[in-house]
Parts: sequence; structure tokens; C-alpha cells
Amino acid sequence: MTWRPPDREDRQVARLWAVCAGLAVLFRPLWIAAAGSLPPCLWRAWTGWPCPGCGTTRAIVRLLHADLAGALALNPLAACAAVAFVVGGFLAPVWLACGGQRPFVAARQRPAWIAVFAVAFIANWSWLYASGV
Amino acid sequence: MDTAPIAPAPAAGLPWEEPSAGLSSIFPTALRIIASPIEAFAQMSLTVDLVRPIAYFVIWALIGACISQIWSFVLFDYFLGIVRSVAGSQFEKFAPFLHKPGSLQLILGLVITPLVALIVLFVWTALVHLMLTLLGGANRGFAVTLRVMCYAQTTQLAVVLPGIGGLIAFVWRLILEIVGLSQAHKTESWKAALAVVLPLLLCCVCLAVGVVAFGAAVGQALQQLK
Repeated sequence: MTWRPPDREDRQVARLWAVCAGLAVLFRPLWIAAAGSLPPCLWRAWTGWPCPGCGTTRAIVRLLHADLAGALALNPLAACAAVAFVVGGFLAPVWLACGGQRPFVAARQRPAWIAVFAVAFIANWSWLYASGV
Repeated sequence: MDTAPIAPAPAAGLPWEEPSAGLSSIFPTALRIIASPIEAFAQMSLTVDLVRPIAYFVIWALIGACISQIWSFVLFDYFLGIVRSVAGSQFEKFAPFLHKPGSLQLILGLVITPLVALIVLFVWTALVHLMLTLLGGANRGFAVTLRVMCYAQTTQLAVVLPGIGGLIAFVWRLILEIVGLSQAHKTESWKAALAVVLPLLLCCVCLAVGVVAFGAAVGQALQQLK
């Protein structure tokens, strides 16, 4: 990861991120109510195998009930992404306001990041299959 | 996460991006994006305040929500009949999810839909930009991807068609996003296409299967009509 000073747009994006994270927390009752009326995973119903997103809805509902361990057990990648979205949303504007720099991926670092995401994705999917989520 | 940004190209900008542009400029902008998306996204300003494209997105989300709510209220019984004929014996499984919206639900829907759409916009932009970055196609920053996603919301116009409007808007939106990303990031079309399609396939296989299932169901219904 490489770092550079933020520009005006970076600050705007950080503020938008904060608004979205705030709305996501504000709409907690809505997500919980909506989760109950979502149809089951079609991929799983047809093939019997979990899809990479299986357990995401249940993991987010667990997170909304402050059950981090339960969320991680259901879909670790989705749980981490959801936590990063909310926490990052609240921290990003503060970080930039305090003079923090913003990250970006330099071209030479791309293969390493592709490997990291591929390993995380495959490990998560394997977990879903092994745990029978 | 972005690749190192390159200097934004000077652009004439869309009508919506002009300093004196009012609410009425939304229609010439939409018309330009519909009629000639390649030119429109090439003209899109990369320097105008981000509030403008986000406002454009919210307005179209609100228009789409209004039209969808009207259709779902007026044509509910008709759609229920179609679902019943297509689903056949499986209808009982879907029945608990099908309720005619009340007036309170309609009003709440109009207030909440644009706000939920804003969250979806941010998360979807992040996924697509991440993919574009990994594919080496993100020649400009996250904000440029966000601008493209905002203007692609023009496809909400398709929901004026009852029933299939949502599906048309979804597919049309993907096409506009691919065109917009390739123009705005000055990258190859295949990278833009993969950046848009891969998150759907990798993270939302259910959604992709759902779209295919819906298409198959519509096809089957059309066969029965013949």
C-alpha cells in the first residue's frame, strides 16, 4: 500500500462514506425486518452448494445484534467487509481532517493485492462449504 | 484504494454540470446519456463538485421509486396473477413475500428508497472500483468511478415500463457503467466489463441466477401465451 496526501475529492468521498455508514446504522431496524422476508439462496437451492455470498444476510443481522463472533462464523469475509464499511466510514473523515494521508495501490503492488484477495475469497468460500452455512 | 491518479482531462461537461444549471437540466443530461452514452461519458466533467452527480443520482432514484411505487400499487393484482401462473404449484412459497403496499408503506418507500440507494451506490462503486484497480484499469480515482455510477442511474427511466422495466433498467445500467468506466478511466472495454460483471458473479451469484431464472420464467410464460 502506498500513501499520498488527500485532495478535495478524497475529502468529499470520505464525507459521503460517513453519511452512508451513518445511514446504514440508522436503518438497523429496516435491515433486520427486510432480512426476514428475503427469499433463500437460489444457487444453494439448485445445487446444494453454498455460493460465495451465502450467510451474508444472516451475518449482517448478527452484526446488527452486536454478535461479531456469530457473524464471523456465518461469512467471515462479508462480516469483515461490513465492519470495515461502517468503522471506515466514521474514521475516514476524521483521519483526513487530522492530516492523515490516503492509500492507493501502485501498479507494481497489484499482483500482490490480487493474490491477497484471491486467497481471501477462496478461503472464505471453503469455510462456507466446510461449515455448512 | 486507487491507482496513482492521472491529471483529469479538460471536458466540456454535461448540462447538469454547468454552474448555472437548474433542475430542468436533468432532462437534457439524461437525453445525452441515453442517445450517445460514449460521447456523454467522454464529456463528463471530472472536476465539477461531486455533490452534482450525487444529486443527479438521488433525483433519479426518487423518480424511479415514485414510478415503481405507483406501478406496484396500481398493478399489484395483475402482477400477482402473472406470478401465480408462472410459479404454478410453487406459488405458495412466494406468497408470504407478496403484499399489496399500503399508503404508509408507499410514503415510507419514497423517503427511504433514495437513502438506501445512496448506500447501495457507495458499496457497489467500491466493489467495482476494487475490481477495476485489481484489473489495472483504474487509471483515475474512486471519485471518477462514483461519477459514472451516478450518471448510470439515468436508466431508472426504464421503470416507466411496468413489470419488465426493472430488469431492463438493471441490464441497461450495467451497459452504461461499462461504457462510462471505459471512457472516464480511459481503459479497455473488457476491463470495464469484467469490473462490472465480476462482483455480480463472485459475490452475488444468487442475483445472477435470479436474473437468469426470471428471464427463463418470462420466456416460459411467453411460450404459454403462444
